[in-house]
Amino acid sequence: MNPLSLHPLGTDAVGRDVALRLIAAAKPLLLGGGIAIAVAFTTGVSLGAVAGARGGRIGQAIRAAATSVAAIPAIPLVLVLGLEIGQGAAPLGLAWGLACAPGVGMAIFHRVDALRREDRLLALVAHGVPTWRAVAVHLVWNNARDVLRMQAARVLAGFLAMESALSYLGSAGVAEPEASWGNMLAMAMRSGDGAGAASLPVIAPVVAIVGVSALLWRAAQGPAVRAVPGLHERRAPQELHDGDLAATNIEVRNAVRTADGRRLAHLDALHAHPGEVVALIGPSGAGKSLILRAIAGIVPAALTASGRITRPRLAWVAQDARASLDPLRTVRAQADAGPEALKLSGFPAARLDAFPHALSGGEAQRAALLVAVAPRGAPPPALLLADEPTTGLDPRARRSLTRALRALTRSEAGPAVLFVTHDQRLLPGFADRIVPVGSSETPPGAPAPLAPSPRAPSPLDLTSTTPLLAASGLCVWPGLTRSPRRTGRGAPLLRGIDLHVHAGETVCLVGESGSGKTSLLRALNGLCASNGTLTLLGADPRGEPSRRTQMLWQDPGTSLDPTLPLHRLLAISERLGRERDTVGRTVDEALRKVDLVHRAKALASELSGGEQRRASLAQIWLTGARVVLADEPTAGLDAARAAEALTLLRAIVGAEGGILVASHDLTQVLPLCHRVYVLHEGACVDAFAPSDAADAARHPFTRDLLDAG
Amino acid sequence: MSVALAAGTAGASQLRYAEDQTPAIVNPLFTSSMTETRVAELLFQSLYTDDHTLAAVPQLAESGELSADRQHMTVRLREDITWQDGSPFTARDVVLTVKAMKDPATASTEAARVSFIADLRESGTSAVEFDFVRPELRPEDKLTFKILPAAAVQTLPVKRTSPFRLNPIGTGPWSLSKFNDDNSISFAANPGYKGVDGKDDVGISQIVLKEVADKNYQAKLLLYESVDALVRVLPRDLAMLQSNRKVELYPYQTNSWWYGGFNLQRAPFDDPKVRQAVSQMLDVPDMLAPIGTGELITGPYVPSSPYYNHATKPWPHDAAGASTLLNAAGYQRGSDGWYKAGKKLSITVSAHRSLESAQEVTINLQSQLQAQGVEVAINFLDDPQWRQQVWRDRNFDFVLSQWTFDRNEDIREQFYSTGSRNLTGLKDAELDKLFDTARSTADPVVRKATFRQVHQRVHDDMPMVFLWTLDSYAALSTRVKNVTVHPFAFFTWANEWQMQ
Amino acid sequence: MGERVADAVSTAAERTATRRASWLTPVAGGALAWVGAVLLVQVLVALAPGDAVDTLPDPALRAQLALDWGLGRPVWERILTGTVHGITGAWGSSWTVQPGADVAGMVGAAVVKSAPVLLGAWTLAVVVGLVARGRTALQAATAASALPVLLLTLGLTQGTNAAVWYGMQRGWWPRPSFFALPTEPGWVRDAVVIAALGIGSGALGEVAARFAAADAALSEAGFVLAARARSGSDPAHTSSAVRQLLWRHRVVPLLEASHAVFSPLVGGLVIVERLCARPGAGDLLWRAVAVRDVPVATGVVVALAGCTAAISVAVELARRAWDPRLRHPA
Repeated sequence: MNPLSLHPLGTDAVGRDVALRLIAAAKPLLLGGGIAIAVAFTTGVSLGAVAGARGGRIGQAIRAAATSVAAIPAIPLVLVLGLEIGQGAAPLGLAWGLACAPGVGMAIFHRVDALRREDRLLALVAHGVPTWRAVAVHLVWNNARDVLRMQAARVLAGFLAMESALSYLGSAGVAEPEASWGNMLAMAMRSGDGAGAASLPVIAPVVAIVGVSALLWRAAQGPAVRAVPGLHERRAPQELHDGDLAATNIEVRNAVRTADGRRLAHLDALHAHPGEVVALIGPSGAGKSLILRAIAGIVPAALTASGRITRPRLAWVAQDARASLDPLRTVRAQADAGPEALKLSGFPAARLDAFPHALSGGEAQRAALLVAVAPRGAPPPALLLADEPTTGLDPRARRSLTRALRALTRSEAGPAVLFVTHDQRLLPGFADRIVPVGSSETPPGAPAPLAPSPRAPSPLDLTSTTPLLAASGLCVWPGLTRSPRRTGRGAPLLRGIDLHVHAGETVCLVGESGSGKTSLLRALNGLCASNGTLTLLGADPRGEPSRRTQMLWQDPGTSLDPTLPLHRLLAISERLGRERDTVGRTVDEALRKVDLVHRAKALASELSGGEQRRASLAQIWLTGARVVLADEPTAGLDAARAAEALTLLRAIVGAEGGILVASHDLTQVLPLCHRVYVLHEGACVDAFAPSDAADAARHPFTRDLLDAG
Repeated sequence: MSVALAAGTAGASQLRYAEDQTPAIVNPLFTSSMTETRVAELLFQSLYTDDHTLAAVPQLAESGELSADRQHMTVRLREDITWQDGSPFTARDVVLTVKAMKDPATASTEAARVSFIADLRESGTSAVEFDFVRPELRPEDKLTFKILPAAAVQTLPVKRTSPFRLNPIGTGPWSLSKFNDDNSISFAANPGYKGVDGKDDVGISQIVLKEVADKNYQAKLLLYESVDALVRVLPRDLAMLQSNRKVELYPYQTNSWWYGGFNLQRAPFDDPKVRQAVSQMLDVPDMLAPIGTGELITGPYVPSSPYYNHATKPWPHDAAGASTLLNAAGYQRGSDGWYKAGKKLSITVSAHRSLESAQEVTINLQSQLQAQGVEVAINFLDDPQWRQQVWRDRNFDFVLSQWTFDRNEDIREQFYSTGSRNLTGLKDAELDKLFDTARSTADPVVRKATFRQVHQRVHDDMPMVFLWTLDSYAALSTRVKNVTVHPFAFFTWANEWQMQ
Repeated sequence: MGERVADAVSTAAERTATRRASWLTPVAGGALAWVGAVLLVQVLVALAPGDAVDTLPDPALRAQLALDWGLGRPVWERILTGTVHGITGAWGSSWTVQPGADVAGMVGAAVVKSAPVLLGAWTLAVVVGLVARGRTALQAATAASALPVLLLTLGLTQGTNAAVWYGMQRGWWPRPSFFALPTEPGWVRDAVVIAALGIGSGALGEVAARFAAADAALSEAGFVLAARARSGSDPAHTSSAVRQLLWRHRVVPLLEASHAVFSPLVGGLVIVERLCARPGAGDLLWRAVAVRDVPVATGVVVALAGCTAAISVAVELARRAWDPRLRHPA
């Protein structure tokens, strides 16, 4: 009888069918591997998530425990445990799970910790989602599922490699007569018919092990491995000279995803002479930064740039100044800091030996300028490219930077400066020439849309109503806390704050970056430690965070779980709203209110910036909040978009709600609010209505903010 | 001292032989595996040893007179023998060695070998007087235990942890030169060696014990000439090695037989009918086929032994007979097996993990029995588990294993009701009487007839299913000349071997 | 955006204190990790059901060891004494591997024997991981480490033997000194062990993946873009400056990767040393487990945990020496 018919892969030494045993051998792998994953995930994932979510000392304690377990090498631990609890797939799986728990735990910790640092967890908790649900469902299950998949594959691949080896060696793994690819291979080698490695019973387990192992390793790879950017790509030599920049028909396409490559940015012509300041201006999202990077020849790996560009020796400064500095070297090591360069860039000579991470915001800005103007080991550039240098700076820092750039171009053999901005107020007296960059839809060269004059809000009669939010003599400590009522450690950030917000009123909180605006907002919502009297809708919010207030985040994506489609995301807010008996506020109506009905099925991560902003407003509306605390809602927006954002916010909150907006840019928010409080050096130095802004009684700092606009 | 090295061993010749595991202890008092027995054969000598016809000849002894009542013996020792560290061999070494073996606190594994000695004492420096427990027919055959130097055994109890294990001193042809750091052991020829009847030169100047744990691999290493000798060849490699002209096969461990031992102390094998039923279910030739060739046996002796009873008929392989026996024992055949009072007949078969081919035989046995309704679970035990579960706790139903005997073939300890190695728990007064008469008679003809009756009776009591004696071979490279392999101790005449 | 400025002003005294602390914390962390590991091993051995002592053959030895190791005493006391012994290096004497031998001596010698192979495999994984730039090289490295250590070792040893033997039969070359792996000690066997361990234990794939991720992040870093812009536009400022900058920044992921792969390497050591019959810590552990020698087994695990903790301290110190952000926290 032809053996192949009955036994496709033949029989082993004792007459058992190889094919059947090959399949039976999957049982210990699945059983042991399953137990390993279960053990590793129950201990690793839960502790990793807690460490990631809490951070601080508890996080460090858990990570210290993890390093202890991780210090014990896995297979020796499995052998010692096998000594006691016996051999076989189940104890092997238990021991392997324990050995893999630290690896799984650390992977989950890094992902959850990153999300926490982006305030994702805080946004969910402030929105009203219970902490355990926020961590377990939104952070771990929704946003770390790829980590779970990769770790599961890694644990299984490790288990297979170990189990097959120990079973082959005989005394510790899965022993005969239970089937395992390891002991099948051992028996085949031991009692093959002298054909040695060529016989089927030997090849079958080998192919099984390699096949499954390759599959698991493929699943265990992260995306980074697949898309590998070419850091070392060769670039055609440029003909370089010290003279002008001349560039025509610059285009940046996205060649990766679509064949024809959607055009992301386009500019017909641009030239710049030394000593000249040229501004590239256009609405947010018009591709200004991409044009700048195309000119500098450093377009992101996934995009391609085209066009005829003759460029002089140039330097490029990123939007975040500190990022343009090499963190591993001191400023002196990166810049050829002669006295003249120091004076031009305005960087204090005493701080030359500091490292970039130790510099303050302003110092980092000046250091970036110094390194750009006088790089170490290279001649000074003829052209300085700056990507939104003033965004995020408060008015005074913005004014001193533009003055420094101005002085730089005026100096003899000064370079040309080409910078990108959306802030039109910057241009008069600074830019010699303005080149508008239309968004890919609007034709280039069309006149930049004039900023509509913002409509001042109608004056309110406030004498009769009691304020929705009232704080007097408030001291605020930085840092989030579970028990806000307790006073924090060390010196308070803000002292003696008195403010109130009435129904229908839009109040602004203005101050330099670092003055404590965000901490004050979080204290008002009961998330930061503070003492002094604080009433919100008649109750003190520092007990249980009251659901009647909602926060609007500077980056609108913070409060949107990127993995959920929009309608399911809003359903969560709807359910939170229903808990607080809001009548008739459904998801569909919210979508209609913010004009996002056509995007209901889209994932939150696929929405554009503006759409995300409107989605977060829909969230707020669904929870029926009476008071909205908005943190820098207008940052990075030009005047038109800022006005549009605040009017939509007012429409969402309605006449009987109060809005408190924190911003660093007084001139931008002044025309849009009823009253302004000014924070400076830990105190509230000024409070006034926009109408008497020009009044002489204003605090000198306020006056400084007003004329810097 | 006569010049030891004859001309033949001019160049440094080296014999490398493969073992599964380097011995944990090199101390003959605690020998527990065949590996250690072979190493002891290289390093130590005994009062009497075997010649090529397996007859006892004096080795350390010069001569011995047995008293008329055969219960006392005076052995005069050779005076020209020195220990490898130079100290002289005296009667005190012999007396202290036997006393250490008999000391209960030392718990020596070789105690059974000196149980026939009641007492002994020095008489002068080169003579020892023995008093036996009972009259002995040929005490020379039993005085083959290894003698240790007095220094190693004078303080009782002798501990396994004593430093002697790292630096064993013997009088044998080789001395332990080094524990190499790759788990191998090197033995160097002993210049002061005094052989039997004047053969004092040692053919091979260095022997190396190499540990090759992977059994699949030892034969290949012999082909590759990385080792020169394999102690036991796997059946599957016999064909390949036989056809190779650079390798020679020698029968080894011939005096051994395989058995399946029942545990008579607990159900279900306390009932003889169940034992006979199971034995009739087994197709023994079908179990032997995959692991090699050999002769089937019906009792506790190898067919070539004088005590083997060729008249004993083997139990028939008869499934129907087995069913009737089980019915008689109160079992009814259910749909998926045999039931007695609602309990299913299911047994565990235990086997030693490192016994070659045991796994294949056990799996075959399992499939045969399960085909006939007996549920079988298999339990492969490594050495510590084997000693604890099988020997100390007698926690097994059925055990598959192999017994190896030196030429005495003394199976008394295995089947006597109070025997130290009676793991089946057989209690048969009639059989004990047979053993006692065999031991007390001096007439070899009566002894042979009695042991043949023992063979028949053990066959009928059926404490074990007697399977076969496997044709097992050692393999040596043809570069090793003048080779004769002792069936049990392997290296007994290794001093005569020459390397090309 | 928001507050990123260092609020606290650090005086000079504070700064030196933080610098000293930044050296002490990794050392203390490593020591703590090791003590934790020793405690965990003792807990697992004590709590696991069944006791290895009662499988020992020798009754006298059993009784004496039960006394020595206080097996009768309550569990927590056994754990405590075990941990204290573990830390102070009083690991007792071997039960059955070499009865009476001092465990610390045996384990020390074994670890020293394993050290060259371990460090060799570690260097192989890190160096090849570094060199495996670019997509195809990376895919090959990851695919190779999918091969489990068992098949890699068997393939390398038996494959080499078959090939060499084939050549010898045909007289192409004389019998090489390393022939018939793995019984002949020598550098060829060590090379096989290093290759099997470095690739088979998955270390290579892990290192390659980490470098790819680090490069992806590096390519979008501001200072890299600035350097590339500067070099792109000025022939004198050749791209070697950029390359030097990149390599200076690849040291950090290199250190992290080398720390992460050390533990799987030590794990794979047991299997590779056993398959290649090479003496060392892994082989000693296997032998101890086969004959139920608990002191030697726990001794080896504690020693290997010690090595891993020491490596993590060394790597952490190197990281702090290299990265000023860790040396002077803001």
